[in-house]
Amino acid sequence: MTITTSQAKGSVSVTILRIEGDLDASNYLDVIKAARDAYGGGARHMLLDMGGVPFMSSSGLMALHSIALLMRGEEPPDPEHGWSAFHSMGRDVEESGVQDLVKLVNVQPRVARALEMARFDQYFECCDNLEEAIASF
Amino acid sequence: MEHQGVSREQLELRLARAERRAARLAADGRRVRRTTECFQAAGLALTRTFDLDTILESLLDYLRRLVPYDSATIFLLEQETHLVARAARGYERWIEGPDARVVDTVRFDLDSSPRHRRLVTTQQSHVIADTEQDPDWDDIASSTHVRSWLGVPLVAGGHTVGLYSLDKVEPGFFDLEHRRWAEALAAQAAIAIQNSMLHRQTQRELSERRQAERAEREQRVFAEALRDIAALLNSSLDLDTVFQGILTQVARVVPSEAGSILLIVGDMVEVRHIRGYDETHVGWRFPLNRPHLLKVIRTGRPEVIDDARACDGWINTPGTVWVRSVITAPVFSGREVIGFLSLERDTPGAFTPQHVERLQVFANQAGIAVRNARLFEAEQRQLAEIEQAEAAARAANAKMRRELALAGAVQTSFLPRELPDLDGWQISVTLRPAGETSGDFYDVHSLPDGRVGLLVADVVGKGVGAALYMAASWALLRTYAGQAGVQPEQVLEATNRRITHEARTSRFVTLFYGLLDPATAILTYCNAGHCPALLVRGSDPETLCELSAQGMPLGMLAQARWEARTVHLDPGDTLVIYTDGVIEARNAQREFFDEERLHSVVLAHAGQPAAEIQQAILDAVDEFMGTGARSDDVAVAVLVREQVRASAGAAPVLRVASDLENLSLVRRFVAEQGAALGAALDAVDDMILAVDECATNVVRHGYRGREGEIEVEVRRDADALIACLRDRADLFDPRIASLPDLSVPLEQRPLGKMGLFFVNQLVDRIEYAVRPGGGNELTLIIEAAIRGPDSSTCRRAGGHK
Repeated sequence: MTITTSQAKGSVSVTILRIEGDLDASNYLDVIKAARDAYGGGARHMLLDMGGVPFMSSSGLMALHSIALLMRGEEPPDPEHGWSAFHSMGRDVEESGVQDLVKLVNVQPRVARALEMARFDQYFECCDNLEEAIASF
Repeated sequence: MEHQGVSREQLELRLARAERRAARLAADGRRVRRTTECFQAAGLALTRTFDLDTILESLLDYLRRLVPYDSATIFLLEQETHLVARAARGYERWIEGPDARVVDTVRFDLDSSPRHRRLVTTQQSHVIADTEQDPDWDDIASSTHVRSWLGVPLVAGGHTVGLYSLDKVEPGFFDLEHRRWAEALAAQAAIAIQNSMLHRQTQRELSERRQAERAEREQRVFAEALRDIAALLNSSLDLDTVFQGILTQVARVVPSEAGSILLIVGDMVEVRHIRGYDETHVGWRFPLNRPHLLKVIRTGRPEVIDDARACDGWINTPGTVWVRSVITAPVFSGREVIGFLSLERDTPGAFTPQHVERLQVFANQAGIAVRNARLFEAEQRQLAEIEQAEAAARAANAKMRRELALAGAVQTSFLPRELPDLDGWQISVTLRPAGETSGDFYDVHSLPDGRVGLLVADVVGKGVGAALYMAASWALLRTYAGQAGVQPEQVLEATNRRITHEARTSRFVTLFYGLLDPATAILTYCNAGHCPALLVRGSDPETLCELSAQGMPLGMLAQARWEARTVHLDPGDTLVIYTDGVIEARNAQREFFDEERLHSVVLAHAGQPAAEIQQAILDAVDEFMGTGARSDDVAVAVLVREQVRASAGAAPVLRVASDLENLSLVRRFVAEQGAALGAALDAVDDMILAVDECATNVVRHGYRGREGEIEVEVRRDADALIACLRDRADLFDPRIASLPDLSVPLEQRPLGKMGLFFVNQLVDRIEYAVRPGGGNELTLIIEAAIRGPDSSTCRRAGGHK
């Protein structure tokens, strides 16, 4: 898997993380790390370009969730401690509904299916193309 | 690697060194022979005539062959005070105008040139290494171009008759050897010059006084005797022959009853040759205490005893009682008296001053003979040493060649004679060395755990050294590779540490080492700086993938690391591993065979039996090269996974280590098997995700970081697509685990067990069993996923989108 980071200027500065390759349990931590590095570099709005990801498992969901927390300025629980560590997260964002700090673009069909199954599509906005996505922030 | 106690690397170095030494010795030998022959020829030429100009010209000729000067002058001494240039060479090249004419125009007082004066007075040769640095240097005798200079006095019978001066335009040119040959030739030349002057004087006397016929004949005899003895001197280097000749010839011009040549040996005098005495006297020694001999040594001049009976110092031996007159001349070697030439008569007062003079001429010849003999003896000794060394070197080389031929044979025996027979796989490997030994090598070996190691390697460099390095590398690789459960990077790292530790050479090995698990069709490989292996998928025969290097060659850095990669080989896949001898083969136009040609051959033959693909590659290379000679070893290995036969009984099974890195292999396996079974695409996609989640759980929560194996089997049962996961991990029945409640809003939903939730969503049924011997067997079933032969419908045929 390769992850490339770039910047785009919409109404706010948007950091684009382009991911290439299957997103699974072996590499989802790499994605979180890339997002953490970007946040450390000042990124506050993140667009995940999933055009190069043909497959994503539930580990990928964990990555998306962690990135959303990071962009809000929270340190996500150590994913190695298991999914149960994430219990508290949901309540914090109860009022906010669809969060608008992390968005997805170019989501491939199999990944879309995983998002749908987990109802993550209620939580992450999925855009059709890059320009539109950048403009939506 | 040890070979008879000596490392092979050292052996090779020694061979090269010995060959160089033998060549050097042979060259030295040739040079010494050439110079010695030249010297003998010079002696003959100088004594062939009495004409002074011819002698001097000839002298300059031979001198140049022995000491390659740029310019040279021969001076003769006049009235003991002046030097006159009588012959010269080479000045016109350096000096323009009349100054270039040296002969008979350059004449100077000895006192005006310290360097010339020194030669005459010391009778020693003298070298000025750099005229610009020498305070004595003067520009006498058209010498402005001279940077190094060699002056050699011409001394005959202890008297300087002249000198020659050799010039070189470069500084520091004249070495000891030049000096030695110039001196040796000077000794010959001085005598020739002296003889010529005596002869001229004789001629003059003959014409002026019109001497009696007898005197004339006498002079002629003298001249002939001189010439004969000089010729003898130069045609034979055997001292006894020359001495005997001198004694015979001298009797022709100095009448005498007997004669002898005596040599000084320590503080004794040894009778070396005699004429007119009893042969038993030869070898007789007496103390060097006879007054007349001591006087000869002291004065360096011949000594005459007019009447032995009236002489106090004369000591008779039984053989000499008849002697009345004695004449004794010193025999010089250089300036040292080394012996005596002595003649005896039975009448008193028999020797005239003319006799004295003539005798000294012959004594001088004897000195030259001794000097030449010593020189020759030294050369002979040197030649003998050279020849001996040459013979020793030849013998050593022959021995090493035998050992290296043996090394080649040993090396061939390294290559596996039989390749493992794997059901469903074809392996074909070949090696064509460019010479007797090869730097390329391959190995195919079975591991105790059922895996097969496949190695193609190339020691950088050619010839014996590379082959020996290959042997060492191979032995190490095989040692480390032969262990069950070992990973390729471990083999490489262990081998590399040994190679870099033990071999102090700049050689290194590039290699491709793969471990194939025939059961799972997974090839785990390392490419250490080697040519990329070429993979053509049976499913995509138009595309060629390269399994490129991810690490440096072995032998460069002790702490080098390699990372193994895995590739799953599908039925119909072809893998070609080769060495650079293939792509670097050249044709008559010096073009390379190149990767492009190789790629097109591989693509054209992919899917064919391994042996045919290999032959096609070799044929293509041969055809390309034409008649050109192979300059590099060529190794080609082809691995083909045969197409799954329709009648294959057991369902394919993938076995991978419990490692999240292997999830992609698991997914790929499910995708392939699903497709092979004809399952609908979306059903296969769902099964891939379900199996991925289950396998992730086994690694994470089942083995929890421990080592273990996961087995995946994909099969069909009627129209159902079935995947079965087996492990030896902690027991876990996913059917009784609670699933997240998705009716709860996401924000309130526990995210744990999301994977399990997916699995339940994706498959229609989950079956669970505890395996015999422990471990879990999880069976995932998607119904109506495969279009049966009697059914034209499929539940999922439309897909889910």
